[in-house]
Amino acid sequence: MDTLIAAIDESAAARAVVTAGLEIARLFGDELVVLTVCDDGPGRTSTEVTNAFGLPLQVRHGRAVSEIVAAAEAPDVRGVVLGTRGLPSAKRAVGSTALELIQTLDKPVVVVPPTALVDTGRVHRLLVPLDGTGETAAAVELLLRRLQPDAELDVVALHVFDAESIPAFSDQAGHEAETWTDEFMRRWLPNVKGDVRLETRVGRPASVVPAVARETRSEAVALAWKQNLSPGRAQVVTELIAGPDVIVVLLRVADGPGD
Amino acid sequence: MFDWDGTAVPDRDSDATEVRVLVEALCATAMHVAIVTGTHIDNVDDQLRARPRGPGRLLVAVNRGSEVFEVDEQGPRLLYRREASPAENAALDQAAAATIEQLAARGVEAALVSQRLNRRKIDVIPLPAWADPPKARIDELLAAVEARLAAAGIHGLLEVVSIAEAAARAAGLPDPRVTSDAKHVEIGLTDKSDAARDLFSRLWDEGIGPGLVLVGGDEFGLLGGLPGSDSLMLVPEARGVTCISVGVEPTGVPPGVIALGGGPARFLELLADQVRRRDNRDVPGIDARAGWTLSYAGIDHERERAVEAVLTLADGTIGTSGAPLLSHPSATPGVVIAGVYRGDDAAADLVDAPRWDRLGPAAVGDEQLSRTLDLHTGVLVEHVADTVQIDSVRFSSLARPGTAVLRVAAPNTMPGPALTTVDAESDTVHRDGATEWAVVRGKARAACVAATQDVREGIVDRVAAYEALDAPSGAHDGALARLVDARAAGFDHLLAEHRRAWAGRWAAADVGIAGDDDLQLATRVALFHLMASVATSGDATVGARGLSGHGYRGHVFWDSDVFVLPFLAATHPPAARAMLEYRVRRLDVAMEAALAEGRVGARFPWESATFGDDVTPRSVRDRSGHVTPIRTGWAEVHIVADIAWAAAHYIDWTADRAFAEDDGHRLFVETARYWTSRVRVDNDGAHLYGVIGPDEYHEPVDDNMFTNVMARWNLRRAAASAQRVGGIDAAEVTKWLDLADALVDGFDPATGVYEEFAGFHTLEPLLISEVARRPIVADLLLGRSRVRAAQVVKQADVLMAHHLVPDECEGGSLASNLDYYEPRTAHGSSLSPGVHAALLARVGRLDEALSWLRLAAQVDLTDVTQTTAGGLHLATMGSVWQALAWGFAGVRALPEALRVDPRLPDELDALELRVQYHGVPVRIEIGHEATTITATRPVPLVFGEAAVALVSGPDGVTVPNDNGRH
Repeated sequence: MDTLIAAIDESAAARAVVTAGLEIARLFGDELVVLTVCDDGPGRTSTEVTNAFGLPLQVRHGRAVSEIVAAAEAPDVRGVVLGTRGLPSAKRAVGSTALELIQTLDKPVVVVPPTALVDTGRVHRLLVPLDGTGETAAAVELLLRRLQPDAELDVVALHVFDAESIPAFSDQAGHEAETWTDEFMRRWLPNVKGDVRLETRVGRPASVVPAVARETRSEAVALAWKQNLSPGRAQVVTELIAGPDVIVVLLRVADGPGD
Repeated sequence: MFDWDGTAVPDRDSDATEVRVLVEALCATAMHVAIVTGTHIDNVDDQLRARPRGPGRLLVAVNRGSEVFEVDEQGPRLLYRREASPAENAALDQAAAATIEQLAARGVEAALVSQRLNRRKIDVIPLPAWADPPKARIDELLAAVEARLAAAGIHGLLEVVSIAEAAARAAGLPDPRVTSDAKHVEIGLTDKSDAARDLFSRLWDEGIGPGLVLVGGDEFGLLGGLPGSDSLMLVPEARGVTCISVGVEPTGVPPGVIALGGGPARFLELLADQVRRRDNRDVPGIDARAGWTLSYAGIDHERERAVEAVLTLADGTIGTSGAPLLSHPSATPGVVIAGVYRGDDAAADLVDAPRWDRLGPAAVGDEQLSRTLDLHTGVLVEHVADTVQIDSVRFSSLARPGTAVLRVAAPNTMPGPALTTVDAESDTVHRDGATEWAVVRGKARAACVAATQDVREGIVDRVAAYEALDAPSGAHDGALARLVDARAAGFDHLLAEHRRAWAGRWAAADVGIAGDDDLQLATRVALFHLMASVATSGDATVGARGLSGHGYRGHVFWDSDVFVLPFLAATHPPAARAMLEYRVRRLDVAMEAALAEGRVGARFPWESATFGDDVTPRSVRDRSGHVTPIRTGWAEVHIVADIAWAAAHYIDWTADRAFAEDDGHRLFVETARYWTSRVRVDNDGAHLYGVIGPDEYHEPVDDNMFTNVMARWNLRRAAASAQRVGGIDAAEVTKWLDLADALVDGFDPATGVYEEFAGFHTLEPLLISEVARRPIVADLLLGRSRVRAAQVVKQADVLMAHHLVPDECEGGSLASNLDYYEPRTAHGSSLSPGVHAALLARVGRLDEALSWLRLAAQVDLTDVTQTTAGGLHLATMGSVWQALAWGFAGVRALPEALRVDPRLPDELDALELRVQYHGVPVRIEIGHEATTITATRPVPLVFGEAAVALVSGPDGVTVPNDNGRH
């Protein structure tokens, strides 16, 4: 069994992070380890939250980013779960620690907003945007292949056509979409067992992906990206992690052009 | 192909029994044997005495290229003879006499030894010592001749030949063939090069390209400064042959010729080796020729399924994906059977039949695989160089459709069963001894397949026979009987007849394009699949993706009638007739559909499968995520006229009177009757309300120009047919004609532009050419409602009428409507580029035409739509031919004449088409300045728009191009 680290602090997001961490660990068959980084001893919130879930709390001392990165380096660690911000009303959507971590860690990072999974504690539906490139598909496929057989997760793939990628031809709408979808799934998710439904939309991915996540009532979105938050890049990631309630699973792909 | 004297036999007197045995053995394994010799047929035949029983052919080209015989059980039979005219004979006599005279003047006594067919033979060393020198003493003979000539101050044989050539030209022979075997100099009209050209052409028509030909001789090197006589066999058409010499070759051999030496004994060893290879069941090769073969190395996961569609092997009856023989995760193997569907209504889909091409259980790696499809012979070769090694050929027999053949050398893998089921629960493979068989149940038709394989010494020979039944289930006897027949014929015979069948189809249908190799190959790929997808008998069910995949569920659209059929009507009428038979047999259902609508006549369905009822889906979740109703099923009624048009088109090309007066006539009449009940007549004319035209972005609309004009044409054609055939009440015919005249078509004489439908001109005047790259699916880009409210056209609509029924459109209106509609067209259907290419060519916009044509030709080869995995865009392939034939060549079958009106773009060097007009094969060779038209029998021609009646015969007519100057 591999390990998933839930990194919490004294903010109000700690409970959501642990809740989401437990759920993600269940889906993928990992063991959750809760970690906090502090100067002295663990604070009240982190202690209370871990006690409430009956989980031990690992404590490290030092700079939060460096310590979390160091903890994640262990070979059995699959990924790290982080909170986006202290409070839903906080001015900045994503804290500086989280921003630095998602651009630094070379393992998947799960970014959890403070109100995630407040109702049921369960992720029923995962949205996986596919941009029609091999590297995105490979990252998503790697994730999906690790899904536990009893995960009971509904996976919805999404491809967004923009002005550049709209096809040249569509002879008969009644058949073209079916044929195109068959090939798209064979091409990009050939080895995923079970049913994955494909949704397609037209528009700007940064606005369409969050909208489809809401429309499909997906509690989580898995995104492949290149860890580059410079202006004009990773607009879907930026848009989603700033949002109020969707868990974002960030899957790192190799550097190169694109988002 | 080999020389006789000195190569196959030491001399004309030697015993040729061994050669005979080998030649007959080779022919028995379907190998073709061609002998090239200077002597006459009796000499060779008396010596060889071969009486092969086939299936391989024995061809004997004698008299130095002037005659070609075929020898079979009955003996030699003349295939071709070059007949010299009296003037040519006189010139030959004169040239020979002049040569002897000039040599005598130089002190060399030479003698005319024979006056054979088309040549005169002069002995330059008429001495008893050299009366009949054996071939083995060729170098001694040459030395003696050269010494004799040198003594007279003549510079060898070369000078004697020059003297003879000059004498022949002086005698009036523009292209004399002067040859020498050292002892003789011959002046003739033909030589071995003519023999070789004839034989390579005959072999090509057997599906044997030069790459499969072994050329043997003994005199390739220079002889007395002259090219060796056998080197004359190496004509340009021979490029790619394997060439060996068994002669002494005192001066060596030219590049590309392998000097084996050893004389006839060595040559017979080579023939024996060929027999042995057949006995050992070696895997045969293909002629890997540029412009004719399509090769893919390795497996690219993203492209693989599209590649497999492009490599589909089909024979009009079954289609087999070009997936690798061994399993691979990216592959989608599959076999479909024409017309055999499962499921009801819109869910009707071609059944997945048991597969004959699976080899297992091993899997193949990405890099170790190579596949090459030979378009000329419809043979797919596949090699695997991995831990598992495979060398294979396979084909779906065009000579006996439904029969699939595989030979594999796979020394280190188990072949697995001959048949592999797709769905083990519903398709059980039964085994009966070495035979495997299965019955696949369809909706109305079942299919049976029987297969067997012979596995010996690492070679697998597998044969499968598929048979569609006209019942939902049935016995496998038919398939079994076909399997037994195929097995009895044997692999070599099956391959030979298949190659010949494909070569025959190409001989009648090829389009040659000089100056654009990519377009040439892409065009051949298109024609290959058009030919492979359509049966030539019965009722050919041709789905939108042919037999190359499950895309569009195998449903039949206007694609078949309007885009696929024309190529076949012009090149292989039986296939076009079989496509029409599909409609004829569903005419009753179409008449019931009309009644169900409260109308009369025949209402053919927009989408059709087994029964001919409408199987169009009723809604779709499109790619913008919206669920949209699909109205084409009830409103795209132009299909009714399209089918009548296909029948008329077929009749125009073939003059098939039996069809025209019976089934064709019924199609015209019942489709016309439908229009009479569909049209509404108001004070301002007759109208068709609530229809969808080819521009499906606007639906439903009133008075769609294409629909109205096609209906008008349909009514008039039915009236013409009724007047010819009779049996229809005159009042009804008059009603059709009146209605046709009353149908509005939206033409504005002031602008010369038709309105696509009532109200089109009031829509938002959006020029899609200025706001988006094209082609593009504009309803996805802009949204359906925006496109519906704008002048954005999906594909040729008004222009489609110009394309199909130009005579129903106002004269001269093509250019104005192209100017108006092309920039408004998104080309969001793959049917659009080819049609526009054809029309742009007609108005002389040749560069644009070529550009759209190139795009259309690449749709599947580059998987432009990312849907080629679901099957090939067969209609687009048909549009490629139409752009070339109707567009650039301006070829149209008029009822009374064949029209040719070429426009060749600057970027192309030449275009050559083959068609068959009223049963006569016609070849049209278009250059920039002139066009040559050749036909085996006289054909009435119209060249250009001007009614210049020409009669073409076997020698052809050459006409300067009009290039639209009329």
